[in-house]
Amino acid sequence: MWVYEKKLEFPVKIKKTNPALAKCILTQYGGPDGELAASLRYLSQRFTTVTPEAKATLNDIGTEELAHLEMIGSIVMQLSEDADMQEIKNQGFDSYYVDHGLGIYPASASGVPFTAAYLQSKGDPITDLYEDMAAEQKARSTYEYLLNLTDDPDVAEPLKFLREREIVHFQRFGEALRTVQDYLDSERCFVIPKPNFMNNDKNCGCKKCK
Amino acid sequence: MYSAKNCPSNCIPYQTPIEPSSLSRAYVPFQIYCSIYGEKQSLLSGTVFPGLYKPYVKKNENCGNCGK
Ligand SMILES: [Fe+2]
Repeated sequence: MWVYEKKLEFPVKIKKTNPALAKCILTQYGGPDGELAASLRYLSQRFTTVTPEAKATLNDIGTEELAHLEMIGSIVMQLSEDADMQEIKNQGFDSYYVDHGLGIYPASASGVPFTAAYLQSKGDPITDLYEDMAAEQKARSTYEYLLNLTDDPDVAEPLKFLREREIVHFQRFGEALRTVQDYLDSERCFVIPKPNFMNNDKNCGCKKCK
Repeated sequence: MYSAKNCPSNCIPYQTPIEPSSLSRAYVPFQIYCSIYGEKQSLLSGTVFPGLYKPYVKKNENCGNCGK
């Protein structure tokens, strides 16, 4: 269950319209290394991870990525909402406009619609955490490329904030990985119930017999 | 759990030694908590932890692959 806070994690107040930049930043909404993919990845993986620390980390970060999705949607909306037809045509926003108008649609910068193929949930806690750490690095790179494309501080400040969060997330997944590796390495006692054919009585101790 | 070397007394040592015996594994050291930023600085930095604050510096205005 979730609790919703009716405010952004970091304020977004953009004054200057820039549809070309909006189209690029949209990739962090529904692109291959975007916030939606990140959120779904972590929130799905948390069901099958092993330590309470890793579960909490996946849950918390998966939730925070939803807050980032909301910030990215706000940035794209504010960069494009006041665009006139001339700006839409001149800045290459027309190809997006014919499909979605000024709506916010989960797609990459090049217009590829969001797909769950961007993420994996492998059922192996180690494999999943390595993917998560790579995902944080890919998101960081994307934010750096986006920062290279803009000088508007109204856009750059929230992007810098989001980029820094990826660095913190990488650290947290790294710590979760340590707890999972330690847990999987630790010696544990396995109790294997005696198979039915070795018993004279019919109760083999399995769930069905009880 | 052990006390990390060079850690001031006000830090929370949460460092365990990284075993060099396991090949084919990636390790990230546990964070050592020493101090935190104030509220406003935390929001501006994107983290409350000074040790995790690693801001991006644009290297060259005209280069598309400046991170390298
Ligand atoms: Fe992240």
